Amino acid sequence: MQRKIAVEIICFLFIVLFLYAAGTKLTEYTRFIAQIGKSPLLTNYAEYVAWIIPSIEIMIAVLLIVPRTKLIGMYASFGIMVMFTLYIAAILSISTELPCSCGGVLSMLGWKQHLVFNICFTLLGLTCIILMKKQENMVNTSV
Amino acid sequence: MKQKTTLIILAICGLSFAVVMILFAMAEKPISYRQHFTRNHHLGYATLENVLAVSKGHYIAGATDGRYYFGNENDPLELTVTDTQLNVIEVFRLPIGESQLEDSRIEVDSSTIYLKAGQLPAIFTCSVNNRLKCTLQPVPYFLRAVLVSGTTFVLQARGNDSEAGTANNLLFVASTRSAVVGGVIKLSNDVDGYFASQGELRYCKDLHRLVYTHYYHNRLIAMDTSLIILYEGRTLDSITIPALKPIEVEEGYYSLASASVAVNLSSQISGTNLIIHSNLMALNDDQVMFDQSAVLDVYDIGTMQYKFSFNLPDYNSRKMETFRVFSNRLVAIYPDAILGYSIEHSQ
Repeated sequence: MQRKIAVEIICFLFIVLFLYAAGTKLTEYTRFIAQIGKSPLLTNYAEYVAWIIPSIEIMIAVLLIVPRTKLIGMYASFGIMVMFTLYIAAILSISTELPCSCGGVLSMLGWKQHLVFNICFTLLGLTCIILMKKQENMVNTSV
Repeated sequence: MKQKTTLIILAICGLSFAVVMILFAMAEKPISYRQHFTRNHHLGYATLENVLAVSKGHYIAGATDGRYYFGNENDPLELTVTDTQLNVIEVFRLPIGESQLEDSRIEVDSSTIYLKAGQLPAIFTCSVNNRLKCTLQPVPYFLRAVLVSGTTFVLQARGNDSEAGTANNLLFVASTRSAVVGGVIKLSNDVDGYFASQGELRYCKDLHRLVYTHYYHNRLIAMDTSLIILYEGRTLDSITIPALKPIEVEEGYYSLASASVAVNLSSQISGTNLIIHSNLMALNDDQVMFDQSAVLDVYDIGTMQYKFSFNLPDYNSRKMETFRVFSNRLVAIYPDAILGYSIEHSQ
C-alpha cells in the first residue's frame, strides 16, 4: 500500500513538473526560442526544439496519467530527465554564462541548482520504476 | 524480470547519452576560436599591484587626483573612494531623494560627480567637495551617457519607429545646462541593424573625438563632438557581417536567438589609444592562456591602426568584467574584486 502511495506521489510530481514546464514554454514560445537559440548545442535547431520539447513533456504527462501506460511514462520520464541532466552538464562544460531555458519559477534556478534539481528528479524516476516493478512482481506472484 | 528492467534502464541512459553527445559533437563552435589573424603580444605590459575584495556589482565611476571612485549597481547612490593603491578612504551616498534610479550610473570627473539616470530621465550634478547639494537637469531618455565636457554629454538611446515597427540606435548631444538636444545620429534603421549596430561609445579627451566600437562586428567609427563622422576603422579580425538572429519576444521587444557572437566585449580610452577587450582568439594566441585571461587590443585613435595586445589573467578563475586606464594605472573590475595594475605608459 505504501509502495502504491509512493508511486502515485512521484507520478503526480512528474505530471505537475512536465505540464508546468511545457505550459510555460508554450506560453512564452518566442522567449523560449530566444533562450535555446543562445545554447551552442541547440542554436541551429531552436525553432524545432521549441515545439518538440513541450510536446514530449505533454505526451509523457498523459502517459503518466493513464494507469495502463504509467510504467512506460515513468521510463520516458526517467529518460528525458537523464537527457536534461546530461545536457546541463554539457552546457556547464562550455559556459556558465548562458541563460537557463526553463520558464516560470524554474528559470530562477541557476545552472548548478538546476543540475541538482534534475538529478533529484532522475533518482525519483528510477526509484519509481523500481517500486512499480516490485508492485508488478507482487501482483504476478499473488496471481 | 529484474535483468530486463536493468537492461531497459541502461538502454535509456545510453540513448540519452548518445543524443547529448551527438548534439555536443554538432554544436556551433564558439566564434572565439574561429578567427584568422595574429596579435602582436606585449608580455608584461600590465603588472598586478593591488587587490581590493568587493561584492559583485561595483563599477569604475572615475578618478580625481590620487583618488579612484567606484559605484555600486546594487545601490545607485553609493560611492566608494580609494587611493591609487586601492585602500578604501571612504564610502558615502549621494544626497538624492529619487527612487527611479534603476540602471543609473555615477561618473566622476575632476571636481564633479554626475549621476546619469537614463530611466528617470535626468542627469544630477554634484560637487566632489560639496556633496550636500546636487542639481537635476532633465534630459531625454537614454541608455548610456558619455561625458564630453563639464556640461555636455553624448547620450546613447533606443528609438522606436512604431509605424515601421523598427528600432534605432541613436546618439545625440545633451547638456546639463539646457534641455536642448543636438547632433542626432541614427546608427540603424531596422531590427537586424539595431542589434548589429550595438556598441560602446567612448570619448578621447586628448583628440576631442568620440569612438564607437561595435559589439558584433569589427567596425570602429570616429566622430567629433557634434557627432559628425570623421573616419572609420576596423578591429583586427575579419568579421564585417554579424551573425545575429533577432527574435521578437514581446510586441516591440527583440532578443537574440543566437549563440554568443560578440566580437568586441568592451572598450576604453587611454590617452590617444583605444583599448578593446576582444572576444576572439588569434592564430598565435595560446588557447589555455586565452581561456584564462582577458585579451586587450590597443589601437591608435588618430590612425585607427592596431598597435599591440596584452592579457589580464583571470582572478579566482573569474573573468575581468570592465576596466579603465588612469595615467599609468589600469583598474579592472572582477566579479569579487577590484585589481590595480601598473602599465607601461610610454606605448
